[in-house]
Amino acid sequence: MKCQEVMELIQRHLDQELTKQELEAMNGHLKQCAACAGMYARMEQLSEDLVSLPKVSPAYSLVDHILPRLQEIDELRSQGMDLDDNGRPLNEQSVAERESGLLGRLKRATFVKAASGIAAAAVLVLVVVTAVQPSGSQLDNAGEARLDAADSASANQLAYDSDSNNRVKATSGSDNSQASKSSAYPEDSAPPEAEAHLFRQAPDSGTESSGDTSMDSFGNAGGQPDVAVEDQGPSAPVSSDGEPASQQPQEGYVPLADDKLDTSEEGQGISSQEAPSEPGLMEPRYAMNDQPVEASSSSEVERLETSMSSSGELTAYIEESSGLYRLAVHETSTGAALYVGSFMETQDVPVLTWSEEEDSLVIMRYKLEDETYRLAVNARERSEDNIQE
Amino acid sequence: MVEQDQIKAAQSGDRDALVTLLRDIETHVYRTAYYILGNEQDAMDAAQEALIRIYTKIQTYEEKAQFKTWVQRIVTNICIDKFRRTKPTVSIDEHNMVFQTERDVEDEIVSTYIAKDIHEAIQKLPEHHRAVVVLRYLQDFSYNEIADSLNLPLNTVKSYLYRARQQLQSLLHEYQKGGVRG
Repeated sequence: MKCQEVMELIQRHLDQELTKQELEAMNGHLKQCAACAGMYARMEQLSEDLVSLPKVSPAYSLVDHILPRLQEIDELRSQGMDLDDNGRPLNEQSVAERESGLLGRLKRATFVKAASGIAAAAVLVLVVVTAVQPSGSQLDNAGEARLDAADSASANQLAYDSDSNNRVKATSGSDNSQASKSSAYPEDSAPPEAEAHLFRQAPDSGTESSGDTSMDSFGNAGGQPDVAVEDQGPSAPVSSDGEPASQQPQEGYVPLADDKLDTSEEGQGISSQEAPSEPGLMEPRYAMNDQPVEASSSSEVERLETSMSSSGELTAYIEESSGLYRLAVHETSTGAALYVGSFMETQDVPVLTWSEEEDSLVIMRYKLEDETYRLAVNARERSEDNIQE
Repeated sequence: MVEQDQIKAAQSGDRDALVTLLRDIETHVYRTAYYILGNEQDAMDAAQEALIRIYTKIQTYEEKAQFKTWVQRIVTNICIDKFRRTKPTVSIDEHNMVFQTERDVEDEIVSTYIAKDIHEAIQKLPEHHRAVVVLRYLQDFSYNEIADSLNLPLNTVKSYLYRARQQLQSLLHEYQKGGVRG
């Protein structure tokens, strides 16, 4: 028996899943193999320790703490207000959401170029608001505007650094709001309203990540999802302001590539049809890995194989489109695409293996005219090597 | 844990029943949040958010799902969102540095891991793996219940659990070796 098989038995043993024969086989191997015996001891110890992790309790009653909030929710409801999942009126929430998306971007600020455009827009919101408010007009969205102003205080800080010229110009020109409005939005950045709109539609349209397969495979792929995926993920599915709720659950649920395999082979997974029916809770969080590529070409690309690196940090996929295959490597935790190869013609479905020696190195083996080739990609080090075996 | 009658009453608008229901589950909700997020303050925030969401969404709960898995789905989703927002990218290097500086206290303990080590190691797992471990060991969920809660196929749950344990084991093993050396 191979040590790798024993590892599987050890794992299953921790969940009391071994048959008598399997148990005997495992014990037999453990007697002869010191390495596996050590592993067994450590895994058993780990399991015990996990079971005995402290069963922590909150320091004070959380329910008592939120009672006033619950009261408020009841009152808003009795006034016939439509509330979101968090018990906030829907129109307010859309502002909060937009802000969190915007601030989230600014905080990360991986791409100063992108950030500065948006930051400039944020400053302008502030400026336009200050310009409008003294005139005393009580617009419908005055509350919204004030929220913008308050929440973008920290955005302002950033904006100040990246676009101080604009800020100076804007603050001094308060009596010419029309002029500052038009000059304020740089041509390449959308005004905040459009921004918010984009966010809400992100799961369908995926405009932002449409470029991630262009040029070389690493090109933007390493960075772009930092903006696109992370922002779309938390903000877009959360919004329960009617749009996602009106979708069919099947559409809203983006299955993991794992799902496809598991459900088709074994039929015992949670298929999208079985997926729970609470509409507001159909949040496809767990499918975030799919976002960057799915978003750009959801109709044509299908994931055929999924394989995670031994550390679990990276996930590689074989993706198929019109009979062509490509390799994609994503960071497991964020779903960010680190590498997306070009589609290529192969004889069969390529096979994925992770290198034993090099943790981030994944190998895609494929056949062409009865010759075997290997494409070895280290997405962390951005190396790519395609050779005939 | 929770009576179906009580849930029905809560769904039909009995506010007291709903509040009692929340009291019954608040510790479970908090516990999951604590182990996924890794600190008390974030866990408090996330747990409260989850309870409010349960309060507003109780009507959408359907009896064909288990109440506890429905509850855990809400809290894990909130935690993962929160986690992504606050810690967008934490590199492994940073983690290692933290590990080395905090190690000296545990020199004498070589043969057993202590809860703090495990707690830290859990924080190094990818979020899905962490959620699986937390539901398995802190909520005593079965594979099926985890699959329901996380909306993942059963096989994926198993493979996440296996990988998570393997990774924890190797982290803690490194840790021990560090302890011997120090």
